[in-house]
Amino acid sequence: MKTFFKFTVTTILTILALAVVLELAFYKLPIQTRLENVIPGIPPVFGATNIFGYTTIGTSGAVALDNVIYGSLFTMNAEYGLANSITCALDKSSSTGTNWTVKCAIYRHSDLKLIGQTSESIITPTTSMAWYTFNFATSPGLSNGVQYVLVAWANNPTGTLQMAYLTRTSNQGHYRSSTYTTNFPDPLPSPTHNAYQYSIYCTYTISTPYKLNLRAKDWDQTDNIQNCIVTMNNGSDFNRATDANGWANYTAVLPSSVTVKVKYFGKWVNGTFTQTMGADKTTTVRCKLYDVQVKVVESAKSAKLIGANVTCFNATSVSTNKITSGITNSSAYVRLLNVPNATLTFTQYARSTFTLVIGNTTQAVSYDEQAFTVTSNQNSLSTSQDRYIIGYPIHGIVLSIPSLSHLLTRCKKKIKRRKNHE
Amino acid sequence: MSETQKKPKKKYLGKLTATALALILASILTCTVLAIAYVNLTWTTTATVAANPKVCFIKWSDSSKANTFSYTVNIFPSVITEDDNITYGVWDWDTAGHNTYFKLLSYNTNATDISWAYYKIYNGTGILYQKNETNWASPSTAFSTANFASANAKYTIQIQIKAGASAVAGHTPTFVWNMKVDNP
Repeated sequence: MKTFFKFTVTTILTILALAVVLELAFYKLPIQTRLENVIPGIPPVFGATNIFGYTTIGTSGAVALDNVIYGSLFTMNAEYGLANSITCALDKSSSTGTNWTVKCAIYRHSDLKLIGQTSESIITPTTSMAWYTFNFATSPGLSNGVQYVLVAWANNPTGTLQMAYLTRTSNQGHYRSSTYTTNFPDPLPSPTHNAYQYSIYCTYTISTPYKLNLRAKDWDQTDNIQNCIVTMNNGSDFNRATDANGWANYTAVLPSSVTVKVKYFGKWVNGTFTQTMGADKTTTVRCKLYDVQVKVVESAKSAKLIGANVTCFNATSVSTNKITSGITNSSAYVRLLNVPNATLTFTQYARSTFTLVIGNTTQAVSYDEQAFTVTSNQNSLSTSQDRYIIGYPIHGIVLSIPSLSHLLTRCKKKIKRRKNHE
Repeated sequence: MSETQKKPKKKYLGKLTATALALILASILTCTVLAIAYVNLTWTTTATVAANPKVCFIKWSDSSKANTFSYTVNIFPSVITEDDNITYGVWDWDTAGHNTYFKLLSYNTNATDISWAYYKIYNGTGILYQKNETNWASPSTAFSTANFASANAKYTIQIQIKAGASAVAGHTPTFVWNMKVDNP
């Protein structure tokens, strides 16, 4: 019983000691790790605020922010959010210096794209580390599980402004020397890495992601267009290729205004328009994809060419640039559907395999049902035709006889003159 | 007897009286005249073809008549070239209708370059003549049967040519077509 009691007491003491150690260690963990570990599987509370980043003033040291962008890599929690502010631990290295201009930003780690930057503030910190918060004028969206780099940047008046850090994982720290200016560089150019986890975190509002379903259609809204590249910007660009039914679907769009634009074969066919997301939305995107009528003629007499292949390219006549093609009908016309509003190349081919180029024309397409003529002037044979008439002649006959009465009259006159003479 | 009452004295030239001599001369002269008329009888035959037969070609751009014209057009392998109006037409400018006949007079092409050649002479009323030559290895060169061109009628000429799939770019197939006209 005594043994049992001793064992029990020892065990209880050990458990308590471990609990204290674990709690202390746990306190040092980054905040996003704490949240994930503490409330696993609990659905996020939309509208509540949360944070991700490092919320402790690091004790390993501090770096000078003057004209250097410093920050660390953190993973967004398993939820969507709209960033409200970035907070970082700052001091000045000595009593020297006042009025630093400071701002913070969020970069997406995968491509170092600038997601958003805060408004700047003018601060004069003390020589003791303290938290300073910088607010976003427009809240950028944050996606669940995405890695972001939270950074701070300051100008360089007299003295040195510092940000605290804790030495942790190699390559977590990112920095880049850059003279302070109005906007953060976008993207962040080739940062240098270190093992510092800076004392910086982001506060965000947990938000409901919405579905945005976009369907690309041609100008007359008859056809659904496959392989359009839809770019939806929800703080950063998200590209989707439309499927066989013209759909580009986004399943996690943050509740903010998003912009949408559409490209087809490298040509913009729908300018940027704004979509406000307050609920799931399904939208038809009317693209400047026009149906055109192309007439093909030859160059000598503008005679019609029937059975010629006309292929539309977005640039030079190579297969990867091919948009569509067709064969001229008995009127030498071919109707090409859904060609983009741009200057395009229309190449004409002959032979049953359509391998022989007989013409190449550059044409601007600017409206639906546009009709134009292209002239084939390469690799031709020149036929000539002569036409003659054979006419049966008329034979004209002219008879010329001197007048006998006229001769007799002249003889009588001569005789009379002789008589008179006698 | 006064001088005025005297009977006219007959004058003799040799044994012939002047009257007889005059008659003889007159006869000779008459015969001479007749001889001259016969000798100088002339026939001038002007075998001139009329400037344009009563059915000829017409150049649409200025409505001038023509007995011949040339027409050149580009063709492409496997593609049909069609010209609905080859700039000249056929015109019966007479007040009467005439028979016309058509044929291929000569050619320098072959079945490789030309699959077929079709031409049609027509107006709003009907077709004067049409021909589709599909055998360019040995095309027909005989005149067609008579085709009656109506008085004061103008006809358009349409051509269609299909080049062979293996036609060689740069070749110059040539055809000479012929129209024969009964005139008058």
